[in-house]
Amino acid sequence: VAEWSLLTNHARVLLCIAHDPGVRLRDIAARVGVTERTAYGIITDLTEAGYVVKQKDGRRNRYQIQAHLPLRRPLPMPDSRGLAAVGEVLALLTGVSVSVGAAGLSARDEGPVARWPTAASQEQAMTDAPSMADKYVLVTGGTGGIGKATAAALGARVGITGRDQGRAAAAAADIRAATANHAVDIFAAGMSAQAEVRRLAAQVLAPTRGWRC
Amino acid sequence: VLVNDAGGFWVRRHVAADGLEHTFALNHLAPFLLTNLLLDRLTASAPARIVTVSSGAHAQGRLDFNDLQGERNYSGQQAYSQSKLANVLFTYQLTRRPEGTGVTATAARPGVVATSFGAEDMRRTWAS
Repeated sequence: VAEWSLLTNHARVLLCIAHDPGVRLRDIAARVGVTERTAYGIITDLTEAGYVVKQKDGRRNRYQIQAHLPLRRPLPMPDSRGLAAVGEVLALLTGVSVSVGAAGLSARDEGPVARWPTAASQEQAMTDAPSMADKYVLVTGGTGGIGKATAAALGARVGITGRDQGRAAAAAADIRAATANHAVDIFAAGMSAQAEVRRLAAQVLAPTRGWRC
Repeated sequence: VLVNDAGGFWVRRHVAADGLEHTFALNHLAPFLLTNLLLDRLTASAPARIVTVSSGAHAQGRLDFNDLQGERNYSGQQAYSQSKLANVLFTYQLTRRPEGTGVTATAARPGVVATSFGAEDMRRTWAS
């Protein structure tokens, strides 16, 4: 086996930036043990992938790490916490949590980022977006996570699908309670079976329920 | 409006009801089939939207047409990335087909959100 390391040079460069967002290229190169040219190439990779945003600060560069982005190869977190973000790995290695960009989140600290929409935010969304009043929205996997939050946020007549009838009913009750939107249909369907997908489509298309033009 | 959000990540290879690998069946074939079954109604309801929740992982995806279902070589990450790449390619194709119909197709990359996503295989995996 050739010489190898648990951390790639890209990770080491990112660590340098996490320690000092104003770090100079020369110092990055020295700390990582590569040439300045290589360090520059790595920064370019990180910038192009969106992990680092470069800003001019006088004659220096300042780097902002987009800590919420997932690792390039998805790494599941233990205890049902989804996939690991760059910030979580950096936090482990630096002992401090890395500040994130405006759109980012600190998955560890803040818990689910998808919060129930408030009446005010819903009203705002309504005035900004075209009317959803006569639309039907079908959200597959709508019993939890992103799907449930999406179904709740849209404020339209909505149908959610879930593998388990009980979970789907509970999610629908949550959405009705949280948003005062009572037009929530549930469809029990295990989407990995094609017969169930076809049955779902037939139910949604049935004239007595579901989709309206 | 159709939001194709249902999806999953499995560390171990599972076989779904139709004898297909679970990641491929749920993450790609299910939204592909459902979208096609509902497309006429969506078109009739225009303006309409089809949103498919993909992932940044699609960038690492590679469609292995010789082993689409990971029969020879299964890796949860490869299967997941492949399915999310399939979501993006499917969406690209969708944006071409309903052109002029008022139906838009979008693939979304939600970033990392704290949900229980990928949890099904996790307890066993991390405990062992």
